[in-house]
Amino acid sequence: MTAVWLLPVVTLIVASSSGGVLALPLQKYSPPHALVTVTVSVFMVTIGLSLALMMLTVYLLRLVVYGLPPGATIISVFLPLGPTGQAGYSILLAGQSFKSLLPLRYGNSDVLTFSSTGDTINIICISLAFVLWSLASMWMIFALLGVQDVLRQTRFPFQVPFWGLIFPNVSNWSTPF
Amino acid sequence: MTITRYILFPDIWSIMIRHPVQSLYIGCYPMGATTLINVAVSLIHEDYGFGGKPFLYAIWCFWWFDVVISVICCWGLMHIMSVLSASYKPL
Repeated sequence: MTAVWLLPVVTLIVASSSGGVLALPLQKYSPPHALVTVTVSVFMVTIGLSLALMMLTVYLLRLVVYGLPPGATIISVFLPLGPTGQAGYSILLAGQSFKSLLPLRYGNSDVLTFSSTGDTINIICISLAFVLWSLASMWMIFALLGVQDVLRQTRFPFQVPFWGLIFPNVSNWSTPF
Repeated sequence: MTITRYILFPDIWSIMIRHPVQSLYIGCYPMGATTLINVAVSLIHEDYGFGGKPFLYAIWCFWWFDVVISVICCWGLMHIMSVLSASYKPL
């Protein structure tokens, strides 16, 4: 078991965040299309996040029972930042989109035409995003502790696994900004 | 080059998809596509004002394509992981 297990699951979260980015300009042209996009995004981020949290539990067990990954693969301890940070960003964007899309001016749905639905969803999304960002920061501190521990024992060359540093850290810090 | 490799050596595909670690990196493909979509929307469409409505809808199509690949990656690879888990040593 390595943090690489997270990769197939994180794709859903990342695709959903891009749906959130897309929904904001799309609603200028067509609110129904934007609404479908955001809804599919929320569906995907829910599945991706729940699977990722299950895997993070197993990953924590692996770290405790078998120790940190050896050598330069220690960089993979940064991977858990990816799903949590990116999911926070994705949920934040979904909240913004719902705030500007709802209430709908058409249709006969009680929930979607209610005046404060969009604001309520937005507030819930912001709270969730903060929770996820806190979780990501926790993983980042664990990762820094792990890296300094390995660095004090060995030196490893700068090589391919370092690409794994970029995405998780960027996704974590894109949430607050 | 990657496409040529898979066309010339079709066996690699099944070996690759069954490899316990390498197959998981397929998930990076839709993630890379996502970054392209984000930049296309926020920088090229919003900031530069390029393309307007048709451009945005083209990106929207790419996004649906990306969604399909992500879903296949998630469900497919998780399924392959669980089906083949008996055949390799964990960890």
